[in-house]
Amino acid sequence: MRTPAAWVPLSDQEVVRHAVMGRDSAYRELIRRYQRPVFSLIYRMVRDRELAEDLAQETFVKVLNAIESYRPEYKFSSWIFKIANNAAIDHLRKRSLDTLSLDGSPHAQTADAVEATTLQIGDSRESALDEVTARELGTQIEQAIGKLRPEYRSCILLRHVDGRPYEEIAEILDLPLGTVKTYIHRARNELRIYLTDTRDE
Amino acid sequence: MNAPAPHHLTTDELDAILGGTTIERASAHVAGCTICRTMVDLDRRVVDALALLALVDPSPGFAPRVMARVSIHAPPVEVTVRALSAKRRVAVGAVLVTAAVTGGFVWAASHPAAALAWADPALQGIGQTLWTSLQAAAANMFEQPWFDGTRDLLAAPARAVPVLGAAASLYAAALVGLRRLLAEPVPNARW
Repeated sequence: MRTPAAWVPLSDQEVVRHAVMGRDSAYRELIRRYQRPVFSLIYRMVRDRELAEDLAQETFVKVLNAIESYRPEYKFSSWIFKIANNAAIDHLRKRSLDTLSLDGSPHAQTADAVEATTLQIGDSRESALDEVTARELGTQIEQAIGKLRPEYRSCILLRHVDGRPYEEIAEILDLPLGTVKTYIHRARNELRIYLTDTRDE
Repeated sequence: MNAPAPHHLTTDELDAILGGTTIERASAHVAGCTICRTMVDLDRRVVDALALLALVDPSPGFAPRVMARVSIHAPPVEVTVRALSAKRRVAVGAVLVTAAVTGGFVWAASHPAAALAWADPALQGIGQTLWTSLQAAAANMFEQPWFDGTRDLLAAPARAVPVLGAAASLYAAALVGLRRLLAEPVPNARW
């Protein structure tokens, strides 16, 4: 049996091949690789931690139970993000969410739970002032993302938070490349306007 | 007033600039166009802010919860591995034997004198041993009391020839009959 470190040099396709052979540890490795990005995407789409956990769990269960149908000519990341995005979009279509849980999940019962469910902004700032500024900016951008249309939200998160190339985003969202570029451009415009307005207030 | 700007930045040019790629026309345009420069600055601010957003971890029990709901259909990996190992061993053995035999022939062909010098005594010894064994076996068999009839028959060829001829004919007839039987179509055959 492979140790977790032994999986690191393997590509997603190779890990999937081991999973198809029935290796339990290969399944765990796929979860380890994708739980953060998938959960982050869904969380920022639906903006509720518990709901995001449920949707992320559904995503992984769906993907891993259908692992034998995975076609290695496609990127595994595209496949799992597609399913995650569809889960989030389907949910958003069923129910519109207006409240932004930047200050923790509304279901959090304790201070620790609030802290644990608070959206984290990158903390690589050097000084406390930088950190506060970054945190404010992060809070503003999270709020701004929450105001975008779901399609724009998926595009901007995949592009500028996950760093996915346009082609992969088009594959994930089943959209033409030109549409993806347009969505990202419009999303940036909206975010820019929102941030400018916030700064001016 | 700014210098005349024939074309403001396209979305592709804006993406390229934000991605850190230098496009000469775009850079020159941005340098002289306040509108595009402001747009680039603001977009860069947005992109930088997005890049600062940290990935969020699910709760610690996430992976076990997922694994509890995943059905792992394991093929008979052990059997497959064993079968592969057995086949591999046979293949390796066959290759080694073939290589040894081929090597022997090649060596013998290239060193015929040495090969004959080694082989002659050995072949003679083996041939002698086989011939002696065969004689001993034959003598032993024919000395048995139940071979009296056979010995008598072989001692008189005039009687042996018709007996052997009859036996050969019977054998040939049996072969022909069996062949005809096998040529017949068999209804509902399930082999």
